Amino acid sequence: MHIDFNISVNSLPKMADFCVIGSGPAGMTLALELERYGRSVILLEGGGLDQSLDSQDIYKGDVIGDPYPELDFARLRYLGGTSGHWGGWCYPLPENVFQKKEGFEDAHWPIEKKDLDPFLEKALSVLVVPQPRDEVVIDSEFGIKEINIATSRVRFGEQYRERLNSSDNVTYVTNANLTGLKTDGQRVLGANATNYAGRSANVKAKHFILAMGGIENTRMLMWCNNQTNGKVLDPRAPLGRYWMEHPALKLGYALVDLKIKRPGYYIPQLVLGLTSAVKRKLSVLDCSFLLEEIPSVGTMGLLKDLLCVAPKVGEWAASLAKKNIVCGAKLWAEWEQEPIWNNHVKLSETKRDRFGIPLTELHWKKTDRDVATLQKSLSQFNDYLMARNHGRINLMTGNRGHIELDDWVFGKDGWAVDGEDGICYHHMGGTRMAHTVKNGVVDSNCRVFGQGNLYVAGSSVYPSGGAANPTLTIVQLSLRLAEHLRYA
Amino acid sequence: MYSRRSFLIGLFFFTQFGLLVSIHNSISNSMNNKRSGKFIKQGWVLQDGDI
Repeated sequence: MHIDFNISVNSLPKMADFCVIGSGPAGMTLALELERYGRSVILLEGGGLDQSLDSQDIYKGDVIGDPYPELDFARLRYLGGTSGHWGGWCYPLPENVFQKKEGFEDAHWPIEKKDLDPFLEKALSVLVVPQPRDEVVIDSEFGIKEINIATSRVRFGEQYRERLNSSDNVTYVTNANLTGLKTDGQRVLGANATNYAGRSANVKAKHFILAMGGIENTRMLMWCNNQTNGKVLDPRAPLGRYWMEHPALKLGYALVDLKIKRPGYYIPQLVLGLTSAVKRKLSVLDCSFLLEEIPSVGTMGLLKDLLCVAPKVGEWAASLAKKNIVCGAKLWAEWEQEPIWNNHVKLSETKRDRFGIPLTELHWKKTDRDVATLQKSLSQFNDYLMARNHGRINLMTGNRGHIELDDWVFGKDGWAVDGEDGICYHHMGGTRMAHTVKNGVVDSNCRVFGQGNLYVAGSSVYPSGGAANPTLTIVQLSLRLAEHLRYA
Repeated sequence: MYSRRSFLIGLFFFTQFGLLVSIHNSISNSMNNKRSGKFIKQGWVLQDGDI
């Protein structure tokens, strides 16, 4: 059943088993799975059925640190959330991401991959994708593996709206903005929802789940905690801290004889990564390289250039070109950022949204250790190409003229902070999962420490991010949470 | 109390030390690159024997 909160604030169910706040991949999956278990759900969505400026403006905010796109551009605030413009890449987080890693003391999870594996098949069906083929180690000495990615085209708002409309157990309420939580210090008693005319109602449920996104979960927990004089959260919890992105960078081009799949809209071509053993040896976190085939005219241009610069290896490439087995490709990297205390979300002291709630202030920088993960991984990948005679890399020069090119391969100091460094719009951390409140905001079942019936769903609970696109894991975590709450 | 003169002498040695470390690192990196046989030419990452 659907209620437009702008039209009616008085027709909410008096009580439900669960109040899920946010209808993106995390919240929608959770609500529909709880419905499948026969439980009643009120699903609150701050935006409407379509995008609107009124709603989107609430996602505005400031970023302090490295260059970053506008926060209201990176996220969507309407039914289905940011899945309305996501790229759709799906692959599971590899096992080592969950495990402790020497030298990176905060980059591990309190659960293991095997805790999420039982929910993989269902998560893939939610995302309507086939199971990606397992990673294939293509060179064990250099630790190079091929990562297989499935691409989902599911926009959660479009895909599941009819199911929500016909549901007896889920009441989804659009234009209902969370503006406060009522708690006795141990349990949440109600959620305050407000429409765009400023009219409010109290939503009652046995359990409350914040599923508002990788930044918004933190912002609203901070706000609700402030409004209740600290009754929502244990003061020891590192709320907002250890926030992470997936830094990404177009490194340049490569001329290779590797098999690259045909280009396609949103279809990843060749994605390569390093095995756990080599990452341990290099003391780096996760990093993946994307090779995206360029048109043959571009390949010919690279070939001519290489022939001029390095005739011997150029002749080798030209001989392969005659057999049509050499390929020009754009080379991108996407890698894992170390979770650190200083990267954090806080409430703005000067800017507020239309409901008087402080906007987001995100403090985010890449560290030298983040740079080292890219540099060492790229150097390893380059060594593999050279040693196995698979090709050569051409690093970007034009707009990075002031950077010593050696920096990228040979590991001297230097970082191209020129506004062209990319990110993946993957917002992780801030309400991280841990065994103890000193190290996290939620426990291994995503329950907020100190609250008996308040949970968090989504990538804000990630203690570390790997290099995998986060949505598949978000859906797995929501299915796991639904299983946990099934009889609650 | 330190005099202005001793402060300036200390500063001189301090900055010279920084310069020496910088030169050392630069030479060290250059040697490492040569040892590995890798080098950059017009954006291409190459190794001995490519040219």
